[in-house]
Amino acid sequence: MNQRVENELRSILDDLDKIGLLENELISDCLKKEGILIPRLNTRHLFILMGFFIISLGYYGFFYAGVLSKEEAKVFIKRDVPASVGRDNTIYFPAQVQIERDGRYVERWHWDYGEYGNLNGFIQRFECDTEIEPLTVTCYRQSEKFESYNPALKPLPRSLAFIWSADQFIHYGVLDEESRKHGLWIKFAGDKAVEAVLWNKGRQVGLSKVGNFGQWEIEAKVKGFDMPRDPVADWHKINDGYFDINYAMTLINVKHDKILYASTLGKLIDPFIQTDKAAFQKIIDGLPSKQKKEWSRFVEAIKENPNKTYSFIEEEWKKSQLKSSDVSSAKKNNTKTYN
Amino acid sequence: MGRPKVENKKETKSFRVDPRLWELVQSEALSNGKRPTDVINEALARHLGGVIRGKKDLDNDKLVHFLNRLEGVAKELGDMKGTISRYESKSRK
Repeated sequence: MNQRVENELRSILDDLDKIGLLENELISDCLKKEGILIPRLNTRHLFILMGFFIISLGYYGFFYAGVLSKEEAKVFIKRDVPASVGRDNTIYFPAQVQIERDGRYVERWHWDYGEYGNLNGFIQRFECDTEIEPLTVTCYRQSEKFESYNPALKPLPRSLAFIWSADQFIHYGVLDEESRKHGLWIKFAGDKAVEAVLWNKGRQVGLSKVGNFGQWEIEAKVKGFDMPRDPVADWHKINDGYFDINYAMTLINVKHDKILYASTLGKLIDPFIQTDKAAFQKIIDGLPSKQKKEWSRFVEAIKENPNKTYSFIEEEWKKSQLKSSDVSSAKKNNTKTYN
Repeated sequence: MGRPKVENKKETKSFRVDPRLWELVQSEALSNGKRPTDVINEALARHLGGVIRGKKDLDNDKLVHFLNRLEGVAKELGDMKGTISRYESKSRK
């Protein structure tokens, strides 16, 4: 560029500067016309951004926050709900906590069945959202009584779980460390095992069904996984370490009109029950001869006439209960007299 | 013993420009194979007339004076480049 041109432009700029037109501004304006300018957030952009912000805020308010507040408002927690007869004429055991949403209960928590049985310190959570019928998922928690409602709460990891539908079926299986389906799950229709599904950390890897001739038939399996020949017999082996046998024993002693724990879960943990029987036999064997003789008479009576013997035992038990209540009331009366 | 080498030699700017704008001018100049000063000179020669015409506090005599001077610059540039200057006419619209 010609030096003379540059000097003349410099001189013009200096003169313009003297009359208050700043060099910096003039150059910026000229460069701007050439398309060279510092990107700036101008008022128009600012207005557009503000518009977006207001619209987003509106969407948040109307949709997201609105939905949240709606959901929160409709969740209702009831405590100490007594027993009742529910859907499908099923006895609903007393629940210590019941979660209701939109007027429907979706969860029930039990740690005390009252007169219906003993949970032995275990806690059960029944998910019973009718929108996901026919599944009713049950899991249990131990030493963790209900404090606050968290819908995302996962079932206890490495625990026995079951899926139950009042008048159709019940599946028993276990959950892994991340509360996903794991191991062997068996489906019972009534008290008959009809289907077995093998799970590996939440993924189904095998399926067997009972065929027309009552034999287990492998329907599908993923390479690297084997389906057992007799899923009912092998359930406890495959799921070993993923369930608490004491909890399973507790369940089979719970008498429910529709959940047939004893004749379903009982079959799956039969080896443990047999072990218990063996332990009992050892106790009997170690009794003094007089008591052992009485026990033998009792066994013979059961063999000869089981029904009569059962009713006799029941009758005797009722009498003993009455006696103990009489004794306790007499004690109370005595206390009153003294007072 | 010679003169010590100057490291980080200071760059002299011919015009007082915002540093961020100067960087943009530099990159523009680099991409066109020019000096930054040339980019500014050309922009001034093309548009300074229009820019000062928009300044209301500049009276007509002064405006004519500066536009005449700019016309000379534009001619000089046109002669150098063989192109016609395209800056605005002297009269205000």
